[in-house]
Parts: sequence; structure tokens; C-alpha cells
Amino acid sequence: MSDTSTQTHHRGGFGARLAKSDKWGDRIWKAFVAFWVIYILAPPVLLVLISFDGAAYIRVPRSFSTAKYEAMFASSNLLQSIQRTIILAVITSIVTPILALCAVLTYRRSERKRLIIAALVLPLFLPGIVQGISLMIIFQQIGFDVTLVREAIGHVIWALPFAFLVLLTTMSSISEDNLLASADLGANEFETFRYVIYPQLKPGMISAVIFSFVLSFNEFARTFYLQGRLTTIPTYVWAQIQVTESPELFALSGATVLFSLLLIAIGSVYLHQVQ
Amino acid sequence: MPTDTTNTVTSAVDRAPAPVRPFLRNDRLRRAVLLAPWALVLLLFVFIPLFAIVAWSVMTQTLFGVEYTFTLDSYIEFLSSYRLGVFLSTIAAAILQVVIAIVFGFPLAYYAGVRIRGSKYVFPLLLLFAIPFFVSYILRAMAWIGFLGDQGVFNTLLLGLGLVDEPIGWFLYSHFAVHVSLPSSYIPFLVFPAWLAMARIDDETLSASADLGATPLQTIRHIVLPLAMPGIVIGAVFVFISTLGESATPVILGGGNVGFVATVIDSAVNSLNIPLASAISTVMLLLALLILALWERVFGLEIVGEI
Repeated sequence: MSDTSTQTHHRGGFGARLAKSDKWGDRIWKAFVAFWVIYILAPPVLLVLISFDGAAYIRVPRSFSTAKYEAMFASSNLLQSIQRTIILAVITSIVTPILALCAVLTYRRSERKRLIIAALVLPLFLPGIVQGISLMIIFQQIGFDVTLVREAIGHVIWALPFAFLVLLTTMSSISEDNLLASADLGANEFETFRYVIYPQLKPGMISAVIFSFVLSFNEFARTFYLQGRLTTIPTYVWAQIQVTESPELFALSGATVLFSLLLIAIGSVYLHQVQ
Repeated sequence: MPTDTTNTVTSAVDRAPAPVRPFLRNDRLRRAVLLAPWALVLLLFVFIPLFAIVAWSVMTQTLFGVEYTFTLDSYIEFLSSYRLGVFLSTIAAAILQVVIAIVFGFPLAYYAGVRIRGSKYVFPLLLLFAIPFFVSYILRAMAWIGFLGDQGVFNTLLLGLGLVDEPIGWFLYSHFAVHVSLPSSYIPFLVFPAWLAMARIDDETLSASADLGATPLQTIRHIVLPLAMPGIVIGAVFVFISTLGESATPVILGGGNVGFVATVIDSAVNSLNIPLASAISTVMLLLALLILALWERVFGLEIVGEI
């Protein structure tokens, strides 16, 4: 604890020295940061406000009405797409962290570290449409049309690089000495994993689950080419917005934003408790 | 002595649950079981499809499907039509977004990572910047209609102040709309890795620089910038790739006026011209491999693990 307090003191010292240097500079900095926070925050917030507006088209919200939400709950296609999205997100957030864990454990003992990283991060460097189309054509050729599995595969390969990187970062904070000590004390590989590696990897696993869920929840480009008749929330919005700006879309948007903010709030409360 | 060692190993293995024991006795088996799941997924669903795309790109399109004869026709079709122009203008748009992200994202990362480091506001600030990751980008694009449309926030404001007599039409369904909306999605892509890299710089290093009489600008130039470079570059790559692959925003906010390469690939798929779609995708794949190779050369791939 004493260690942390010295650090905080030290940090405070550095920050304070900068802050004192010029009062105006500080104000300009705050205005600059505030501008970008608003720039990034305003679109989702406006979506929530529009979802409660009385007009059926997009305007500056002026009245309050839940008509859009009523339209949303009356649309069975929309409710189906919400269900589909959640099913896919749950599958992705279970499968991906397990694959990523295997990958990180392989990486730890491997001599071909560069090759493993290159293979796992390649999807990050590829536009989603390229991956979506390549998978779609392959599945068409072999005649595989179980769309839920097709979509789940698309989502897992999209989330895997992120889950891997999160676990890799967590893994790099586990010291080799720790693992050697465990082996010296007579622990087998399983025990080392169970009692030394896994407890330290657990926060990383939890973030990997959250990341996978959120990435799957919002995935569009791959889903678009792999889906069948049933849509997910993003592809439903996409299909509808081409036709008309139907009111239930804004209810859906507002609800999604509120749900995402709720997730963030839960996540940050959890993180706060861990710290 | 050797017998002794064997004994310890056996007893350590025996403590493990029965199903796990074979994996502890046999190193190769254990490695195979850890390797197989992710390696198979990558091979079957990433590498084979990508390889197939390269193969299709040099095949011939016929009425009945794809014919297995080698040809570069699809590449010629791509390079000698309006499609090349769309591809190049998408790259230009991506570069513009990268420049915007660096110019504004670097100071934002510097603010969170250096200027207010250690303060209790760092975490909430970063959380606010994480919000775009949690909201689908189709929905974010839709929200901008509420700002830029004829009845949107900006036009209402301008009309209300009496600055204009009628709503400004080019706010929406234009290049302007696309480029104004994209930074709200992509700035965080740069802020996070850049911030992470800056947060790793020691307090001592920064204090030492200040103690030696360096101005904050000199500290940025000689310490923060070089140490944060890998983070900035990977952020720039994320922004570049994401803009390059943009499919929804140009349509939602650009109307029919803004073409991105994803739209071109999509229309090739819709007209069942698989070789053409594959050829353009192959060009994108080559671009991705080029970036990956440059990364390996300049920073080394292992640094990705530290981001």
C-alpha cells in the first residue's frame, strides 16, 4: 500500500507542475477534450432522445411519446432479430475466449511466436466484407446452409484476435519466475495452470468474454453475407433503413444504446470492485 | 538419483484429475490438444476461404458459374473501370480519416496518458471514449441524420439564429456527412492504443525530462512521441482498415453520392460476378499482408502482444 501512495504522490507532483505552468493552457485543454467527448457521445445520446420523440421521422426531439417502442414490440421480425443477435452473442462469448485461451497457452510454449501472432491478428487487418464474402462463397460451394452456425463462425473469427490480444496482454504480466517457482515446488502442469496461471488470467478471460459479446452484438459485414432469412439487429436496421425510416428502428436504436450503456456501467462497477 | 526424479514426477501427475493425466504424461498430446481448436478454426474459416478468393480471382466467369481456366480478366475489369477510381478515392478517404484521428487523437491520448496521469478522471474519461465500441456503427451513422438532416440539430439551430433562410442541403447525403460522422466512430481506435503506450512511460522519465528543463513540447517531441509510436501506428492502421471496409455509412449518410469500395464489391457479388468480387477482395488482402509485413519489419510482430 505504501508503495502505491508514493507513486500517487509522485504522479500528483508531475501533474501539478504541469497544471501550474499556465492556467489558460489548462482551460484550452479541458475545452478540447470536452469537445471530443461531446462529439463522440452526442450521436448515441441523440438516438435515445429521438426514440422517445413524438414524430415518426428524424427531427430535433420536441415531444415525448413511447409510440416507437410500442411499434417495436408489435414487430415480430424485429423481436426475432433481437433474439437471434443475443443467441449469437452468447455463443460467440463462450466459444471465443476458450479458443483464445488455447491459443495463448500454445503461444507461451511455442518457438514460433511470430507466426502465431501473424496468423491470429491477420483478421484485424482485413475489412469485414472480404472475410464475409470469402466465407459465403466457400459455404455456398460446399452447400453448407445452417445459417446460425455460419454466422457464429463469422463472429468467432472476428472476435478471436481481440480475445487473443487481451489474454496475451494479461499473460505477459505473469512472471516466468512465478511459473518456475510453481514447477520447483513440485506442481504439475495442470496444477500450475489451475493455481498459478488461471487466477492471474481470470480478469483477462472476463474481458475476453465481454469483448466477444459486444463485438458479436454489433457485427454487420460478415453477418450480412452469412445470414439466411433471419436477421440480426444490425442487418435488420440495414435492411429497413433502405426502405423507410420506420419508427421502430429508432426504438431499437435507443434501446440498444441504453443496453450498451448499462453494460458499460456494470462493467465499470465490477472493475472498480476488483481494483 | 534418476529413479528419484521419476518418482516425484509420477506422484505430481497422480494428483491431477484422472481425465487430465494422459495430457501431463505426454507433452506432444497436450500441445496438440491446445493447438488444434484455434488452429483448425483459423485454417478452415480464415485461411482456406482467403486462399479460395485468390484462386477465384483468376478464374473465368461464365453463365453457369465459375470456370477453371486461368485468366487475369477480372483484374483488368477492376483496373480499367470506374471501380479503380472508387478504390483510390476510398484509400484517399481512409488516409483523411487517419490524419484526422492522429491530429485530434494524439492530444487526447496525451491528455489522458501524460497530462492528467494518476488523476481519478482518467478512467471515466476513457470509459466515455469506449462508448462507440458498444454502439453499432450503423446506428451511429443513423444518429448523424438527426444532426445533419433538414430538420436536424444543426439546421434547426442555424434557422433559429436566422443565419440561413432555408435548411442547408449539403449537410446530409454528401462527402461532408460521411467525413464528419466517421471520426466519432474512429477517433477512439487511435486514442486507446496511443494512451496505452503513453501510460507505460515511467513517471521518472517524464519528471527527469522536466527537471532537465525541457518544455512540455520538447518532452512530447523527444520522449512521448517516440515511445508511443507503436501505439499510434497500430491505431492508425485500425482507422485505415476500418474506413477502407466501410460499407454502411457511405450509403446511409452519403446517399447515392458517395461510393466506397465495399459498395463495389457488394454489387459484384449481387450480379453474381464472383471472380470480380474476388479480384477486388484479393487486392484488399494484399494490402493487409503488406501492412502486416511492414509492421513486422519496423516494430516486430511481438510488440502487438504489448498493446
